[in-house]
Amino acid sequence: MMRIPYGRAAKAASAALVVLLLGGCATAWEPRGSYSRTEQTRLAIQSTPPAQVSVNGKVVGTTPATIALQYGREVAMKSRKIAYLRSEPGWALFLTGITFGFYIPIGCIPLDIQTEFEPRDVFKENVFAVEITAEGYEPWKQHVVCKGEETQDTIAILTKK
Amino acid sequence: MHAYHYRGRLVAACAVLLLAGCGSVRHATQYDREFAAAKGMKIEVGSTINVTGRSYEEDIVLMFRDALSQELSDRNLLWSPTGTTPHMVLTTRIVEYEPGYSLKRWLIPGWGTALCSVHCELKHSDARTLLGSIDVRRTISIGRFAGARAVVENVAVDVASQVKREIKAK
Repeated sequence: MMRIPYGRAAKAASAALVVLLLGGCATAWEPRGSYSRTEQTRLAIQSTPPAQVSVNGKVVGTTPATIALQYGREVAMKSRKIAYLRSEPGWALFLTGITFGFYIPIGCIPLDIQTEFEPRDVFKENVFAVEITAEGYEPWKQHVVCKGEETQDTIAILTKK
Repeated sequence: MHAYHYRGRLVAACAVLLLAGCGSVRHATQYDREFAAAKGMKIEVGSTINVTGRSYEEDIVLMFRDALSQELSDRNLLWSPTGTTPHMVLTTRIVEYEPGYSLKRWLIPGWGTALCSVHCELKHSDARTLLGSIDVRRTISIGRFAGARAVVENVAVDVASQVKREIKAK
């Protein structure tokens, strides 16, 4: 009787399926533009002697003071198609179970969408003109540049006129 | 006999799942460490901008604004213009949106996924201080009719719930 040589083909198909399952199926990342989100840095200012603080020409308080500086930061987006077995393995396994394994090859097709957001070191309106003034003293000025830090400290020592 | 008994229940469960729709949800919140909402402080729905770079048949900006206003109102958080007390302003950027396709989701789960992703910022109305940010992403990848509207409304529910939870915690 002739034996059908399906053993090797079945093994090859199983190996290919395992590779697909382990590696997952996904397309290449594609850029999807960007958007701007607000960042905030708290600027702690101290001075000798205590004085009035202005930021960009607007009086905000007297030292010692902590001022919230807000500016924009660019966030880049990229997305790709990904197999449902990778994006939602729980649901994919459930579907595989109730379909008695029929869903496995379908679950390897990259159909779902995966997106990643990457904050860039690109900032908008992140330079602030800080001025400290007190009667009888020379005004103290400094440009503060914010780059996503949570806090910044500045100590100003005023000189008499 | 046992197989028939469970098969009926399995079919019913699958039908419920397909009609209700299944998908994923992801939240990320970040609040200023000095955030302290005054008791009874309300929230104004600020500007909502579509930053996906694409235009759609449906007005997703209006859809989201209406849904968010309704959810905040249901939670007694919506600010009224007649009020004079300080309040918070919630601005939104719709960063990702796919209306999906119902028929595809019913045929092959994962195909025709409806998704919506937003970045919201909560600011004080007077000082304009950034109080916190909320990122929500929701998908409907299995079943469900009218997935486009549902996914936007579900995101609005998530945003309102996150804000309410944070205010109650303070």
